Amino acid sequence: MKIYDPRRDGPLQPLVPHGLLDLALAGLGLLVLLVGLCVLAPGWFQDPPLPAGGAALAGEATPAWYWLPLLGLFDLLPGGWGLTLGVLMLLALGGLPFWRRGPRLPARQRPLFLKVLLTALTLLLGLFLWGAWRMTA
Amino acid sequence: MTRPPANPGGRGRPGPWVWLERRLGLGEAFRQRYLERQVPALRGWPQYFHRCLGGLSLLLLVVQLLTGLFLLLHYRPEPGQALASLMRMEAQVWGGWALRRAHAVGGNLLPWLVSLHMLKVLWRGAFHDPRELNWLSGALLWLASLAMLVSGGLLPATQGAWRGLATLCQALGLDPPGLEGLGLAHGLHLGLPWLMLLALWAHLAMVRRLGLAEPL
Repeated sequence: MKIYDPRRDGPLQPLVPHGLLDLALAGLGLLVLLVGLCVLAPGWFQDPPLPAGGAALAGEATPAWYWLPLLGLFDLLPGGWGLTLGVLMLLALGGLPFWRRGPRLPARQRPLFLKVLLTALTLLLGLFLWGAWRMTA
Repeated sequence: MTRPPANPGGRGRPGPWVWLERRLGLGEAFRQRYLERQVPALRGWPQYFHRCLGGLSLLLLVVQLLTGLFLLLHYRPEPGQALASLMRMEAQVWGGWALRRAHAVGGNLLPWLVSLHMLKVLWRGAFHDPRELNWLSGALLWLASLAMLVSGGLLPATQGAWRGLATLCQALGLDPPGLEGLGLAHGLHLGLPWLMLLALWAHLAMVRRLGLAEPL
């Protein structure tokens, strides 16, 4: 199988120095974004401290964003069902390359795969929004 | 492989580098592996973002490791001392505030960057045979970056992260953990980078072996 086809994927260049310079430029952009977020949005990702005694449920703060899809999932499917679906989703993610073995094809040429991918992304976004709504309502 | 001449100048004995190179061939191996390696060229500014997602994730991971090592020198994982030790560090150490902020913001950005990289791989179908193990090691890195975010979020003992954990425990019918769980979160946060480095080594070794399907 042809791994990289310059006619399809674009021309090649030497890793040193051209490739590394490209990556350094992209990295510079990322560092500017990181410093910009730190300076311009100093309140981001900074929550108030826990009340004395560490009673986490007593606080009024919304859970951090990364908890929201999980909280949405367990709100819709409490207990074992939510856990089972979560584990199944992780197994499906890991097993993806074994689902359809064959030559490399972009998603737009594989309608079924594209539908499954978009459904999974919509489900994830829905869980995120549901969790956020339930935790702030 | 081209062997370097035994006596390049034609005069005297060969230098120590030539002597060593004829026996080990390290310079030749380095030249073949890195200097002569071809990677896809970028065309246009948008490609500096969407075709460099893997390299950018790696760079952010390095930033996280460096800033995390700095924070490790000052952080105390004890109830009542966790946030206080970080505040003390911010007040007493020059640049401490910036490094703590960079670590917090970078930790929140990393799973997004890795997710975008995975979406790009999915979109281009680059996870197929023979790259199944690349995908698995990448998925492991994604999970580990999320676990690092969760465990790291608990460390300053602030409300957002602990309320999420307490609500999840409640949904699962478990007792919400108290701040004595800080030690466990700290242990996880220190242990997971080793797993990430192992997965990263495997990921990069397989990218090197199979070649790039996409730019870095």
